[in-house]
Amino acid sequence: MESGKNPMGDEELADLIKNSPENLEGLINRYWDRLFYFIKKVSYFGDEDAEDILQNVFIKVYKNINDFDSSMKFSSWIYRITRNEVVDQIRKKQARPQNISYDASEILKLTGSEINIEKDIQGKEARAEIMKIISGLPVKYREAIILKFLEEKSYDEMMDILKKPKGTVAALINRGKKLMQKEAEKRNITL
Amino acid sequence: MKKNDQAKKIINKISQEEITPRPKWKFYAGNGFFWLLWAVLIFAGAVFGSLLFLNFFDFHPALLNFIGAGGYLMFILSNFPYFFLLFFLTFIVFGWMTIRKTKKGYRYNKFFVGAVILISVALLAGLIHAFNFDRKFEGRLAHKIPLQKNFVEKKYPGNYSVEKGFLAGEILLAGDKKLKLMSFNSRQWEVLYSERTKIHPKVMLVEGEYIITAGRKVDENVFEAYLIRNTGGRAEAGKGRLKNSNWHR
Repeated sequence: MESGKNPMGDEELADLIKNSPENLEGLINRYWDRLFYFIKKVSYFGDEDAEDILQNVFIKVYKNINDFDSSMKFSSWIYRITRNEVVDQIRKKQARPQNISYDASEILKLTGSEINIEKDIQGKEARAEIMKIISGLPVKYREAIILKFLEEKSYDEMMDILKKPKGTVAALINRGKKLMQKEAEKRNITL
Repeated sequence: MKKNDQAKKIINKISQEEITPRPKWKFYAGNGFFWLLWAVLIFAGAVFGSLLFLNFFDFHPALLNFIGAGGYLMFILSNFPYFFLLFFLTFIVFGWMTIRKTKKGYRYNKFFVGAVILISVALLAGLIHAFNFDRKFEGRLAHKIPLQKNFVEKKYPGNYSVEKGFLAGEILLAGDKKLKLMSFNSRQWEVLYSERTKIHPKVMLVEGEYIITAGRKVDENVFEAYLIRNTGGRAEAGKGRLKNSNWHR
């Protein structure tokens, strides 16, 4: 579906899904990896749980396809469904915090840190500590920070995904960053 | 499991369980419900808002001559319908929350939503007041809800305020330049008035109407009114008796 010079847009794909569930395949191929890693970063779930969540997400996408309207990006809509499903599953499973794995570039994006993570031994230690800090953040701050700095969503997109006004989104990001800085200071890491 | 396999698994599940997209009208209905609820809450807020407005500003200026500005303030504070204020604020807050629950409610700035609600309520309250619905509503509440009756009695004090120049109650009989009035503490008064008495344009000196008068006690159970205004209440049961009233003739 995505072959050719002009790959079909998300909205066009969404329209096709209304006609037949077979057309979901294009969307699944397009969004599976992005959403899979988003789920893994926001939650503490393993691969299998993340896959189960994604299955539910795409079934919900199909069920609620008539609720999508073009006043928002399709990607924001599907991220919203995913985010809601993750939050539901966290509540249901009452998952305990585990360390979430981020690569070096992601750590840099999240913290803007000057630490030379690749070379420095201290940097490696700091990276592990930073992962712990991010893992320890409450979900509402963690998801806001991940959406902003890893998924690189705009404030408008975040507003649609989190279903919160722009001011609240900005406050979540700021508060999350402050919590990270405060925790980093306790661990003698400069962010 | 590979992405393609996942896709097939999901599509198979949809087919096997015969899952279909929810129709569009259901989403419209869900969103419409919140807008309807919002409209109802705003209207209710406006009704109580107009009652508050009535209490604060619907004061005949001549009455100030009797009680003065300080007296007016005391009168307002001591008789303020805090109960109505509570209802008013409750409806406003729920109205605010409801608009946030609509499909795109989260996109609106909270101050913008607050401003829209206040403007809507103010406009509606103005209309309700202009059409005199607030007085009728207040009167009906006084008849149907004992708590509200007590409140109205407090708002339009009875015998004890005669010494201060006030008398309020229900018109039992309406005669020529005199009224037979039952005060809220069930005492009968003869109220005298003349061409010089300032009568609020909306007041109806007919049997069953609730009025408040400002003036002076001239004799035992006789009160001379300088000003008459209505309280908004009307004794439903008294409507039919007016035609047979000798006092009225």
